[in-house]
Amino acid sequence: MRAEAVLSINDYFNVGDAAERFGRLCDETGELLESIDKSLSATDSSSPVYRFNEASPGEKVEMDKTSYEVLKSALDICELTDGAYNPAVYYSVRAYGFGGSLPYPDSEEELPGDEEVGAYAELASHFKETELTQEGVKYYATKPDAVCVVDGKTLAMKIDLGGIGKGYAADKVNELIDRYGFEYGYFNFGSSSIALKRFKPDSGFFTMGFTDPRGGYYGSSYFEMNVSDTCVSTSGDYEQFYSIGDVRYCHIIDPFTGKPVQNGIMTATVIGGSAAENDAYTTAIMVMGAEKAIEFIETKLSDRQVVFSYEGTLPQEPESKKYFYYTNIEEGGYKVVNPSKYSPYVAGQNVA
Amino acid sequence: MSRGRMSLKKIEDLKSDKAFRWPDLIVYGVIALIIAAIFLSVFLTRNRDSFQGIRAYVAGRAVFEYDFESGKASVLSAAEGEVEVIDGSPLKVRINVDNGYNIFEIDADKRSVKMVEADCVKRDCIYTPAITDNNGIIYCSPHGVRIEPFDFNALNQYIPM
Repeated sequence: MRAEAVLSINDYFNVGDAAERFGRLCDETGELLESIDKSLSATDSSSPVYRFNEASPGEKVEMDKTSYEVLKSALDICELTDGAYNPAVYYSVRAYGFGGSLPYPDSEEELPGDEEVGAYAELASHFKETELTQEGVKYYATKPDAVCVVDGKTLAMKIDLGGIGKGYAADKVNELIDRYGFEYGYFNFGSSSIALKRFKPDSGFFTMGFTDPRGGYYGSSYFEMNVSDTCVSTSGDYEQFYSIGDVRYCHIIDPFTGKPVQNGIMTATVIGGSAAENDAYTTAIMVMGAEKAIEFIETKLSDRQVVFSYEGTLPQEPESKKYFYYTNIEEGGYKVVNPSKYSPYVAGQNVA
Repeated sequence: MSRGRMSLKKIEDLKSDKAFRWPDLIVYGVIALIIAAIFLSVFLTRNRDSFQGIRAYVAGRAVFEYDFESGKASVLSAAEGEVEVIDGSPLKVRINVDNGYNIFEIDADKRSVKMVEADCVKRDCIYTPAITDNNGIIYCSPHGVRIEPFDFNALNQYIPM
């Protein structure tokens, strides 16, 4: 769960004990991030998540409080999204060349076959059978009793909580910022999970610019809005991906097919509530596709502000790729940076 | 028969042509110069004029400052032996505190300030990127040493995501 972490605090450091408090906040933030990484790492052999992954089907594994809490959130959101968010896509992620150090495939022949990824998807579908129990001060997770067989190898389920873990870390650092008495600033973890306070006393909000996934140059944004005292998470297909021919393969896996998502949604951003939940929601929205995502947003995320970008065509111009945005934010509460490039998404009219 | 002979002639003409004609080379050269000029004009004129200088603090108290405009290094209200300025290019400044020391370098030509040596445990300050504009800061938490620009923008109000 390694990513760049930026803690930015605005205060009068030449007054009172602000500088000393900030120093302690920085130290404690560093220790907290190390501790969360140790709990959630899928590669560190001392991590409870690693031990869970290495355990046999049906085995009861002792977790720590952090991994237990994050796993519980993951299970809750898996249920809420009807499986669209599912951290058990471990094997598919790696089969498509992500999450490791190998180079990306550069031809269709190097991609995993349908039978293989289908097996991984079937295995991942058992994630919701994970049982969590607490016995006194000890926490346990019982692994689903499910396996798949690929190339003669029997594989038990494995999970990767890295995505939701960044949001969890942002939430915890947000609490630390409160505990140390700072009101202005933010914590940015990997530019995908941000916990924000206010900007400064005479200008309370930050302006967020969401990256144009087809912007063509670093730093271009397609959508901007003002935010303060909230959490923001984004998922997208524009950082970890490769193309073979005209087809883009990104690191976000559809747990129902075991394949990278290719439904037109390029990025999804959720604002409000907790960063950990938002992380999982953005992944789920990327998986659902536009129509299902809109229904989900309108029925189950009405307490959040949501934006997604979409690449598709119009029925009258099937050969021409166009870009659209969807948001449930009221007009006037946002700005579309390039309205000649991004049009509002119209349900039922846009085709991926 | 006559059509074939004309095609052969055309082929022979093409074969005897040079890979590049002089007018083509001139056009390519002009385009390359324009591209280079645009790149240089953007790169060299990017606005760092507002980065005027830096100030170093120990436990919130300003002990040293350097002004890029005048090239002047000033020791402020520092205790005896707290700040040592080591002449040279780049200029080095050593800050001595009760539990150790920090050394930072000031490159006046590049308007860049970087922590280069410290005896704190983690040395996070050494891995902090150099300060090259008003948005940067270097902070050594164990020693309480902070280096920031005169016009430090603690926050950017705009956050890309």
